This record gives sequence, C-alpha cells and structure tokens, in this order.
Amino acid sequence: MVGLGPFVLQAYDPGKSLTLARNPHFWKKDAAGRALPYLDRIEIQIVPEQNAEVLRLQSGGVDLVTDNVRPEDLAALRDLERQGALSLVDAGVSTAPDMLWINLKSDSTTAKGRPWLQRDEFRRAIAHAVDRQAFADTVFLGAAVPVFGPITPGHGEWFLPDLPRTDFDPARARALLRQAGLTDRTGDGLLDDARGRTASFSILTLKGHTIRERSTALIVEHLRKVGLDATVVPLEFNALRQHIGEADYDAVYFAVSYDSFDPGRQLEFWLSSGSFHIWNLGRTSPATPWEARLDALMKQQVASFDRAERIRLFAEAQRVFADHLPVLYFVAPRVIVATSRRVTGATPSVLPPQILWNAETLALAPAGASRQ
Amino acid sequence: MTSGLASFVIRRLAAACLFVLMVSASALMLVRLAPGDAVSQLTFTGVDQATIDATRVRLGLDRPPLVTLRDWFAGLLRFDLGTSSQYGQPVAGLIAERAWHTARLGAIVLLIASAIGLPLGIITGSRPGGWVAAITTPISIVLVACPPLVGALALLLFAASTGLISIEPGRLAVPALALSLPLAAMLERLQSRAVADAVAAPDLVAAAARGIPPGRLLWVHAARQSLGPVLGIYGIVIGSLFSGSLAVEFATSWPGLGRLMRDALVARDVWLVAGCALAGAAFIALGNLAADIARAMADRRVTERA
Amino acid sequence: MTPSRKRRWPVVLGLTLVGTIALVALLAPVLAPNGASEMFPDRAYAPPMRVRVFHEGSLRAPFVYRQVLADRLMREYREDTSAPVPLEWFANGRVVSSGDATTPLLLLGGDALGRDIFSRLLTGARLSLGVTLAGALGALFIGTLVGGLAGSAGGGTDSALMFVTDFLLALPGAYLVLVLRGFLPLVLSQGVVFGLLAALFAFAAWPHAARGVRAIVAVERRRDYAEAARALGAGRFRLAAHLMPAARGFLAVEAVLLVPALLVAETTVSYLGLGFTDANPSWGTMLIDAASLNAMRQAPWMLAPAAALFLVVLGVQLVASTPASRQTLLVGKAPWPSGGTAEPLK
Repeated sequence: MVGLGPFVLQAYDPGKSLTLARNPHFWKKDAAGRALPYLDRIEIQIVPEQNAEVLRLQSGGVDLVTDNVRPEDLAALRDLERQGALSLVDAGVSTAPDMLWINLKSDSTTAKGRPWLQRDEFRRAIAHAVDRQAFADTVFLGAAVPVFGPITPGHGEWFLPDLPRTDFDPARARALLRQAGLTDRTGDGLLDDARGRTASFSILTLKGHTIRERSTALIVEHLRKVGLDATVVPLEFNALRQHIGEADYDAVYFAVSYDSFDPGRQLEFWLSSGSFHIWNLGRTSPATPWEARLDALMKQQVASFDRAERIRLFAEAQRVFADHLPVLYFVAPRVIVATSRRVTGATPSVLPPQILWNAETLALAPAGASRQ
Repeated sequence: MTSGLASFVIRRLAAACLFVLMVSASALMLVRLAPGDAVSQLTFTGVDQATIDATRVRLGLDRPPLVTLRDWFAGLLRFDLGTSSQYGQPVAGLIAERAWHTARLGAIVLLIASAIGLPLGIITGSRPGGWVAAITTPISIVLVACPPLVGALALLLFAASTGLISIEPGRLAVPALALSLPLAAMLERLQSRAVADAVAAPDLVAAAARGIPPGRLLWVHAARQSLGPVLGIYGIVIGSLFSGSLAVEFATSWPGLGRLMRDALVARDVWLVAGCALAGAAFIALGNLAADIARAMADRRVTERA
Repeated sequence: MTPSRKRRWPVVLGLTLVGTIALVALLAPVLAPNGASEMFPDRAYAPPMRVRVFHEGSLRAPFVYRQVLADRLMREYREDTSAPVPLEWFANGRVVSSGDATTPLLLLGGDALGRDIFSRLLTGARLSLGVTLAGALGALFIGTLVGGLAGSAGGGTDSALMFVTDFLLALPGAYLVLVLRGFLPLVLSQGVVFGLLAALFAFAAWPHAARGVRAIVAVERRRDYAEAARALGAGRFRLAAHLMPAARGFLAVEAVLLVPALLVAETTVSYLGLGFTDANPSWGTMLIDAASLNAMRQAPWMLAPAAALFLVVLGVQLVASTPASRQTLLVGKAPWPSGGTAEPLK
C-alpha cells in the first residue's frame, strides 16, 4: 500500500481492529539521521466500552488509549503510576469544553409563546446561576478549570485572561431573570412568566455520555435553586441532530472538538453563515448587529498575516461574544493521558489525537525496562 | 410416525422461512422510519450540504422506504445482502464472520448452562428439602437477580485481579462464564419447577404405584415430561443467545452479532440492519424448530395435527 | 409443625419481604434522610457513614462522625472522630436526618455527584419497582392468555399465534423504541413515561411467557381429563380455562425471571431516550452509574440497587414457591392425592 504518512494501513477488521505498519518510504529522519518512524507496527483495537478500555490499560493489554482519562478512573490509574506500570501526563486544559446554547432563531416555535427564552438577560442569568467551582469539583473531581467563553487556557496565546467573567451570583441571576419578566407569581418556588405559567424549558443532550449526563444534572440542580425549571432530554445522536438541524429545540448541551488552536480554523462557528453557527443555523447574513460585528472581526483576523494583529482582533471578537453570550461555557477539563511505561517519545497535546499526533517519534523502551 | 415427523419438520421449515423474511423486512422498514439516516452523521463535521445530499442519493436513502424494501428483496434473490454504508464491505461477509463468533460462544454457553442447570434443576425439583437445593437455590436466585452488565463487570474484575482467566478480547472464558452462569440459573429454576409439577402428576403417581423404581421414574419419566415447558423456552433462549447478548459483548469486547447490530442501528446502516435482523430471526427460527423437534421426539404425544 | 404450615412459611416470609419493600417505597419521602436530587458538595463517592452510640467510651443518642474530604481526586475520606453529629428525629418532615446541615446523613454513601444513595434507592423504588411489576404482570397476563389459547386449541390457531409470538420476539425492539420516541413530544411527564414503559415491557415480555405456557398447556391437552372435556363439548376458551392452571408453576418462575430482566431493560430503554429523567432516580440508571469498573472496586456501595433488587427477587421467589399444583381436574372433580411434593416417591 502506498502512503505519505509515517504509517500505512496494513489490515482492517471492521469494528474490531486496525493495523498500521511502518512506511519504509517515509521522508522524515530524526536528528541523528535515523529513518522515522521508530515503531514497526501500531495496532489499534476498537474497544466498544470505556470500562473495557481502561481495564485493558490497567492490566497491560494495551499501551495507550486514545481517549482522555475519565475522572473516576484517575484514582486507580494514579495507584498504578506509583507502582511504575503507567505514566500519566497532564497535557493541559481542554480546548473543547462542553457548551450550552439556546435556540436563538427568531422564527422557531421556541420564540413564540416564550419570548423570555431568547433574551440576553436569560442567558446571562444562567451564566451567573451555575457554580463553576462546584461543577469542576463534583463532575470532574477537581480536575477541571472554570471557563467563561469558548477559548480556554488550553488555547495558549489566544486565551484572554481578563475577559469579563460571570461569577457565581444567584442574587444577580434572579435580578436578571426579573428583568426578563420572570418572577415567582404562584409561590411554588419556581419562576413564572407574565401569564403565571411556570418557566420551563428543555435541554437536549447526547445520551450515553456519562460526563455530560452528570453535567446536565448538576446544571439543572443549580438552575432550580434560582427558580428555573429545566428538564434534560437525552437523545440518540440522529434524533439530536435532527432537532438541531430543524431548530426544533429550546437548549442543547453538547461539545465539538477542533483539530487546531487557531481561530482561523473555527470560522464555521463564528461566522453567521457558518455551518456550525450553532445558535442560529442556516443564515446567510447576520441576524443581529453584534453578530455583524463578529463577522467583520473574524474576516479581518483571518485575512491578516501579523500574528499580534490577529490576536488583538480575536480578543475583540471574544469580548463581543462575552457581552451577548450566545453560547454558555462552564468548565473545561484537564486533559490527562495515560501510557504504559514502555512507551517513550510521547509529547501529549490537548488536541486529538493526543498521543498519536507525533506517532513517528514514538518508541518502545527496551524489553528489560518495560513493566511486568 | 417418522413420516409424520418429517411432514411436521417440513411445514415448520416453510413457516420459518416466511418468519425470517417478515422480520427482516420489518426491521428494514423500521430503520428507514427512525429519525435520521446514515448520512446525517456527516453533519457538524464540516462536509458541505451538496456532498451530503449526493451521498444520500448514492446510498439510495432519498427514495421511499418501500423502494428500499423492494431493492432488498431483489438482492436477496441474487443472494446479495448489499454493502454496509459504515464499513464499505459486503454485508454478507460481515455478518458471516460475526455470526460465527456469536454461534461459537452461544453453543458453548448453551452446553455449559444445560449441563449445569438441567440436572441441578431435576434434583432441586424432586428434593426441595435436600442439601443440594439448600445450596443451589440461593445461588440461582442471586444469578437470576444480577443484571447482566454488573455480572459481566464483576467477572472482568475478578479475572483481571486474580489473573486466572484471560481478558483479552476474543478469548472465550469471560463472556462464556458471564452468559452461562445466569442462563444455568434460569434453566435450573424452570426445570426445578417443571419437575416438581411433573412428579405430582397423576400418571407418575400411577407409575410409582405400578412399582417402577424411583430413580428411573425421576430421571427418565419425570425428566422427559418436564422437558416440555423448558424446551418451549429453549427456542427463545437459543434465539437470544445467538443474536447476541449485548451487555456482555460490550463489556468483554466480544466480536458478536449483538455489537454489530447495535452499531448498525446507531449508524442507520440500512442493509446491515436488515442482514442482522435476518441472522437473528434465522437463529430464533432454528432454535424453535430444534426445540419443537426435540419435544416431539421426547413426548410422542405432541404432534401438530389440527 | 403440621405439614401445611411447614409449607407455608416461605410464602409468608416472601409476602413480608415484598410487603415491607412496597411500604418502604411508598413512604420514601418521609423515610429518606435527604432529597434524592440534592448534590452535596465534597461528597462525591463518599463512603457510607456508620451510626454509632459510643463516643469516647460513653453511651450517647445515635450519632455519626463528620465526614471530611481528604483528597478529592483519589476519593479519600476520613472520619473526624472529635466531632459527633447527633441525628435528628422527626424533623423537617423526615423520620431521621442529620442534625448538622453541613454533614448530610449518607447511610449508603454518595454517588458520583455527591447525592445520597440511600435516599435515591428509596425514592427510585417507587418508579423502578412500580414500572417493573406493572410490566411483569401485564406480560404474564397477556402471555398466559395467548399461550393458553394456542396450547389448548392446537393446529392452525396454535401456529398462527406462535408465529406472531416469535415475530415479536425476533423484531429488534430497539428500533421500535427509537421510532416510537421519534413520534412522541420531547418532554414527557412522569406519568406518561410510567405508562409507556409499563406497556412497552408488557409488550416485550409476553412472548417469553406465552411460549412456556403454550408448551405446558399443549402437554396438558393430551391428558385424559382434557380429552374427556373435549369429548363433552368444551369449546376452545372453556378448555383453555381448564388447562391454564397447570401453568401456575411456570408462571411463578417466570415472574422471578421477569422482574430483574425488566428492571435492567429500563436502563436500555432510557438509553434510547425513553426513560425517567435524572431528577427521578431509577434503580436501573443508578446501576449504570455504578457499573464502572473502578467505581465497583473502590466504591462498591454504589451497587446498593443490585442488593435491593436481589431482595425483591427473593421475595417474589418465596411468594411463588407454592408447592406444585396438587389438583388435577377429573371429570367429576375428585381431587387427586393432595400430597403434592415428592416425598411419596422416596
């Protein structure tokens, strides 16, 4: 098989495993002049379940897993690290935090009958109602940092440390909700709209993702404390996609990962006409003045060649975003990856593929030095 | 009697074929009716709408469900089950391979479970106060009450921490144990009750009065009579075993039909879904057929005359 | 003990067990020390608290020691033995709770989000058990009707009914649920979900019962008394009514098998989007949460629902362990020997 990369596909067993073999014609050489890659073969086993995946790592059946380590497995893996069987590396803060967005399409069924749902104050109230530190402590066992926008500390120089934050402030949340027209008129502890109906809305999410399920449970609980009645509706991917595509939803809790830090590669999200301008899909022109401003800023920054200029423009875009909060962010987990002791040359990154991105420089320690 | 049995088998085979076809057709229609399709996975990945639409046409997913059904039947006549949209490989090949693994595991599980469960059931059913029953019954109840996922994980934990059994994917030991122990418990419970009922039946009491020794009475006559309800369930058991026990396959990474079906479902892989349904239905039909034949042979009085 | 009383004690024990569980489930809001969805900060994976009566050698009213989080990531907790927290009785509408609001009473520890497992177990009993038992009863009822009719009628009716039975068995239920979910509104009330699930379970499980009942009834049909009844002109339904009691034993076992199976099915169905929301805990979803290998190893108390399920199944088993049917109807209704156990054959 011909290939340009360091490895070529040798065998593929659908749904079970992929075997990549060394490409003898790969162009790169290391500093000492030796041909890369070092490894002869990489076998990727498709394990359907995270439990089984972790177990194989713990028992030495695999050398690494391509997912981040889950918080609940960290304790056990830390033990193994102490025994010398594994090495754990904290690669940094994730660049793909989960996000909560509200349907801002003005002609959707959401907009009719519940005008408070699309108000800026409503979103800002939610941003103040959730205790991000408790979120990080509970769902991620402390291995996460609070974030207030789509760009996290993991994005390096693109991150804006002085971005205005929506700190945990339930009183402020209630005040904002009052401005949006929601107060407790019926005395049941839940806020109601002008007609006395309880302010309820639903949050769609992908079923089967434990972290996200816990996150939404926590968010709902915090919202209830300020009087909002939210219901989580876990759906299967295709059903979720359909609701999002047809703008038939109130709110969605989801995430998407990027393969680069550069916002120039994320235009689909920021531009009004983008295919992932998720709060208002399918538009060819901006729906609001601030989205027009975002469009202008993003187009400018991607056209510039001066890095400092680009960072400045993008910072401005982030501030516009923070003023209107079309999408809410709460915490970004720390990316922790695990490899067996015998794997050397790994420089884990927060971007996927965390370890295999530089597969050509991975090597295995000599047999005597390995675990067992 | 043999020709009666033969015509019985032939009639059942014909019904089985019709059965398999209907189930597969229904599964096919259902997957077309479910929200989303194979191409909707491409949304949010940056692929433009034009490509998505073109792929949809290429896979034939823009046509009405009945047309899909017609195409599938046409393919079936040519022994062509279509190509999987997920893996790009012929469905027949994918299923054959997974079906073999599932059948392998299923056969072993069935053997182990029957070898343990049936004799134990006979003993506990005929001697409910004995020491065998005192030990077996509580264990049976625990195994029956244990959710399959928890049981499989517990076994995995045990295997991993003691190192006695290998947990490599593709090794039989853990999935076989995870499936056969609960099944043995279920068979034991059913058999136990069936024997207790059979032993109280008047014709057995009459036979005892005629002087047939108790050992023979129990292990030949009562056992044979009690097989009725147990064999009635066997068809279902075989069917479910061979279409794959999902939780166990997932937990132990066993490459069986259950996982294939589940992945096909999530990906809306239309032809693969139909093929998996076909395989599953075939197993159930065969299981029922085998069970019915066994019953007909064990208890000569059961024939299917109108 | 007289023979009849000796045979009855398992049933009595079983009824007591099932009855207690049902009562506890009904009284859950009062018996639970905490709210089911209340997340206590710094209590994720907290171990169960032990209720003590001795503090520094002296006897006191029941109390617990304060739980202190030692290492969040490593999920380590320790007890602060210098600070006993007395239990409060009959306060805030709860039978028992902790006297100190910052130290919640976690009798079975905390789950992954720091919620009280014991309270969730009690609250979830209502929904989980309710839907499971309703579904099981429905399945047994339908299965008996169909199986009984098929087995006693034989021939064409039998084949047709069994065809339908097998068809439903072979049909991938997951697809049905998915399609169904697609047609339902997004947010469903608890009552609607309950009804849907019970109906779904009854619908999914009756073929299993039907097959077994049909096999038994088919054998019964060959017995002399049945032939006699037919000779005397008993119609299909009348005959079926005579024959169905023979399946009592099987149905008892089937009940024992169905309860755990349906409980687990509840989690599969909720995976497909048709389940109770997280605000209403169910044993099934609690088990899924606990079914993580490392959680099982280090926080085994999260498997409490499995233990509770075992108790329920045990109860059902005991109730259903009535001795084998000892009456066989003869024309003229003279009962056969009423010693229904195997003793006479020894």
